[in-house]
Amino acid sequence: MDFSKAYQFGRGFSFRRESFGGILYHYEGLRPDPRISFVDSPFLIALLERLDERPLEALIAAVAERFGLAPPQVAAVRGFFDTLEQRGALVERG
Amino acid sequence: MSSAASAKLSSPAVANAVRVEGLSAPITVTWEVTNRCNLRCVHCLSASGPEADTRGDLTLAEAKAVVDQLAAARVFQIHFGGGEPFLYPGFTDLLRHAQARGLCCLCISTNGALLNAEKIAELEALGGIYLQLSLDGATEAACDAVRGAGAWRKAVGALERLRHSAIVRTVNFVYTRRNAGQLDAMLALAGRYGATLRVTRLKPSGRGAESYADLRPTPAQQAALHAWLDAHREVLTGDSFFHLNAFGGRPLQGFTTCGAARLTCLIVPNGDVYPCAFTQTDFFRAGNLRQTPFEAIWAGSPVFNRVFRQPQGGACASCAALEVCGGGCPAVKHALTGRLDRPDPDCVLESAAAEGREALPFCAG
Repeated sequence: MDFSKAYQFGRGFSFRRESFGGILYHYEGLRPDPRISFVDSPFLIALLERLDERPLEALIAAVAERFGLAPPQVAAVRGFFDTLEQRGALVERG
Repeated sequence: MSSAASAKLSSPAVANAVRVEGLSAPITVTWEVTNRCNLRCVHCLSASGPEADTRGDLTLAEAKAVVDQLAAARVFQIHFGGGEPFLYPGFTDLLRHAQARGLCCLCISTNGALLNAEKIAELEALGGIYLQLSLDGATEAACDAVRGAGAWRKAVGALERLRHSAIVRTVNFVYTRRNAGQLDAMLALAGRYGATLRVTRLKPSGRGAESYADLRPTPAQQAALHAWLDAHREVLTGDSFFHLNAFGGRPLQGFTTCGAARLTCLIVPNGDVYPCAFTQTDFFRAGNLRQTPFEAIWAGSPVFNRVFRQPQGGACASCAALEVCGGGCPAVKHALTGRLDRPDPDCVLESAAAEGREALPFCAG
């Protein structure tokens, strides 16, 4: 995954904020993957909501600063986005 | 990080939203666009058929305006059904409109009769389509006994035409007393055609109310189904068998509670809104989209808020199995008993008690 690029949700994926956090939805999410994932981490929600605003590296840095994330947490966030990209949830913004 | 984005309801806030308060908008809206159908299945939940009166149905222009409202509410998925949705005039145009408005999944329940090569190509070109083909038996005789002569051949013909298609598809199978022995054969059939099997619960709604006594699975068949679903976790259920979780063991795949008015709702052909497809009675009517915007009905309907978005009360409130069975299906309770504060009529703990069988794990304490 190229973190210097901006990303957007792939086709069939969508994110919506809820009172408890947010929902990440994928229409092809037949088992074993769930069709919906509940996201209750405030910094992940902040990232997913602003996904296409700027390159991912800059976005993660801004959110890490805002939430005071330690380096291991930032590494975990990068891993999370890697996984999303591998599953087709994220595609480079055209 | 996976724990931060999982489908578990371990967070109290998530569990409360899903089980009690409801989401800001449905995940899925089921939309019966027409009650016209080329079949007349004996268990049809909406009593659809060739004779259906369509004069009060939403026009295509009205339906597109409803799509706009659902998109504005940030609904993820519309699940089109009927009747046979491909009989709704301008249905493909409606799908195109929904996709243009950003709905990321359009699911279609169909009997397959109108799915010719041209229609399949049209759907493939659209993308984001998820087809559910109804087939209530692995053999022609078993299926057609419920769905009418020729239904099996039509559905299997459609599956054959879809065999090399990229369209995500399931074979939908309503589990009944008559076809209960066909689970393995249905799984094999679905696999042969590149489809996932989806088993759903028979409910006493529409013509299903008339055929329920004849088709309702026996307690022994319910137990057998639970064991089979536990062993076949690749099989989908539309979250319709959570009441069987009271058998104990690990809960079946999917939600452990009813999502009506909390995660989903139903729109019928004339624009009336209900909690789910099995609650199409005056008692459950939440509003009409010709008079009230969708978001106002979802947020403000008294039946949604006072009946569904409340902690479980009544006989199930103190039961140890409530956490995993959700108290069962409100639609079945209301249809068979006229009440919502009783256990599901197919509650496995009640069945065991009535038959004098040994207490199940949830009764042990």
